[in-house]
Amino acid sequence: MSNKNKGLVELFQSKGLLFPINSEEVTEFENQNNIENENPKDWDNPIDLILRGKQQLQNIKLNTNSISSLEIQNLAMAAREGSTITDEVRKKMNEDRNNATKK
Amino acid sequence: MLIDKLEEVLLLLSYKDEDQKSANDAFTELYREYSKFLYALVRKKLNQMGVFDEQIMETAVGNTFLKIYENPLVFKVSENENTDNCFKAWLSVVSKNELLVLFKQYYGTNVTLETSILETVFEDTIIKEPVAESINVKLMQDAMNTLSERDREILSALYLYQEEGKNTPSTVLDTLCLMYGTTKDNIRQIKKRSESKIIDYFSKNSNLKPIKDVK
Repeated sequence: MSNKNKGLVELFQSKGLLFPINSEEVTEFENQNNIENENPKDWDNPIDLILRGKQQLQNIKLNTNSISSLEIQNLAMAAREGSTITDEVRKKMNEDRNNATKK
Repeated sequence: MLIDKLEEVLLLLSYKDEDQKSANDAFTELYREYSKFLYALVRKKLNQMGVFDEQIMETAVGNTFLKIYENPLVFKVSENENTDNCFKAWLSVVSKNELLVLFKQYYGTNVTLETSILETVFEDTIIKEPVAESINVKLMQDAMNTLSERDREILSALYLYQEEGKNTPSTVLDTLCLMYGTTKDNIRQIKKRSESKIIDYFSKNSNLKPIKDVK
């Protein structure tokens, strides 16, 4: 491979389509995007940010309809207010599912 | 912000234990100067990944500013810089890393890069220079728009993690699987299929013919 070849990621990087890593890419990004419309959360009192300290994510909302089976299980459990499914209910669910499959 | 002013602000922050008020004023000035840039940047990158969650953006940007507050002198201005774009680029890299840390913490795949297995399947697709030079931003954006929304989001997420000259750690793949509720094989297929589509789009719409130049 010649040194002059470019990777696809490198190409995206150089055109300001990924996180900028140098001054030129910052300029590319700023030329393509209007940053003045932003309304930062702590604009009025940035010191609040220091007082809160480092934060972690509580949840993630994706645009896609994809949702992991674990998340589905967690949501279902939350809907049941934390309780597990009883054997009786699970048997009824399986029967309903089988009936639906037969139709 | 002028470079001299930026250096002064960072210096004031570094003396926060001796002069808290001046440090707070300096932090306020720094936040108001750069928070809009970082919000726009992180928002845009998250949206490309299909993530439309203000909390994630606010957390990543907030943690980035806290990192500066805790250790303001980590950033060094190089001699040839005339603008503060170098600082913005540095903020960009810090915010990207903060975002990756947040995702890893959230999905519980926080394994150090050194001990993880590298996914050679995620080596960068190579395009020869003359072809690469013929491709502009619009063509790249149009090529991305030929992908399905989900494929575009997954490819964008993958590119967020991919570093030039490095392979992608397997923990990244684990995180993406959890994020998008899919499998490693599916992500590999999406990458292969999507990049093939992008290259194909370039070949049909740029002046040069990249197909024969791509390995």
